[in-house]
Amino acid sequence: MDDVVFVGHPAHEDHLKSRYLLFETNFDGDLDTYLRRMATETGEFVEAVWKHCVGFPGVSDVDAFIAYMKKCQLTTTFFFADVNDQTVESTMQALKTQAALARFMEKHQGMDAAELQRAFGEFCQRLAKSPALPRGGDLKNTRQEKASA
Amino acid sequence: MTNINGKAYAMNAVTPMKPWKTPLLRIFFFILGLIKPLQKDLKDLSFIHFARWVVVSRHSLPHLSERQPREELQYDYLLFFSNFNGTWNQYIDAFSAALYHGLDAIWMWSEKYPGARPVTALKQYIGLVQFDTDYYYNVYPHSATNDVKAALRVQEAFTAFARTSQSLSPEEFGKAWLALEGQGIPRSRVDGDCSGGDIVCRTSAARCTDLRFCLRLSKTTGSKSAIPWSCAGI
Repeated sequence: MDDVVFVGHPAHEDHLKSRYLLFETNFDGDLDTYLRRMATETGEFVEAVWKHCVGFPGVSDVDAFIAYMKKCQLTTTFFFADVNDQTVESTMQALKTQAALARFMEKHQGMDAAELQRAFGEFCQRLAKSPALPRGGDLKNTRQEKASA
Repeated sequence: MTNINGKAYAMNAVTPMKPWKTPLLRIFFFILGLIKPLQKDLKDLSFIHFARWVVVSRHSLPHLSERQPREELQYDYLLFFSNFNGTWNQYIDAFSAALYHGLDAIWMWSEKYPGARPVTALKQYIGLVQFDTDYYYNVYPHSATNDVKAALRVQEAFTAFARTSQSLSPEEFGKAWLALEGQGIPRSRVDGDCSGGDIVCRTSAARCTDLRFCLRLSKTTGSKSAIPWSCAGI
């Protein structure tokens, strides 16, 4: 964020003396664990982004990184989550199950019950061993939503 | 600029508030947090993954070095972050139509807020105070909120069914299977028209991009003929 917006007279003009990087995240678990994993599992990315910020200590000293992020943290006043009783893992599992079950149902239409039952048992075993769905990422889309909508 | 990732849109808005007004907004949010039914309208919209509001005092922006000049702001600021499905216009239209009281209750404390209705003025205001996202990560970008909710229902039904499925007789399994299908397991995309039963959907399944609306109604035919599909046409 380069500056705050002047919304027009009779409001006053405000200007920031620094630019700010706003980082907004929704995650499972506690903050310390999350920040620790950011530093240890995505350190290269974190360095690339936050190295431009004043006072950033790097990620090699994880405790210093956590302290830095907490010093920069703003307290949320109100948080809404439409689905707030599931984790990322359970949601991804559900999405995988849904897709796999739909494919199974399509493929086994019209099958007699005994055969279907056997096939379903095998399906459950395959599903349990199947890899997790790939996690999404930074699918860049430069579409100007406001202009096109 | 990457406001969009898959089906999700990330909106960020920053609005100024006179400092004497921010305690009033904090009280409103406190009440909203206590009285869960007040959030029902947000849940009923069912296209917002997450939304957060952050009231920032003009003295509370991070100051990390003596070399960093201290801010001298006249206003406190309300930061708003939302992750939702649909377009920007759809999102604001929905709020203006269905949640205008809530919008007004939150943003009436922000300078120059025009009110949620008429929507044109609201969109102009949001366009002014919105900041674009520079980087947006989403763990399931191709799943909308309803996709997630449907998947969770399917998972629950599947888990319950799978637990006993192999201990049933084939006849019992057949009946239980029909009951499972009747819970509306979305089918994956196939070629051909989505039609059957008493409802004919004019949308070709090959073009049907919103699979959660395509419910499968199965009928036992006693033979291995194709079970008709019906599109709910929601």
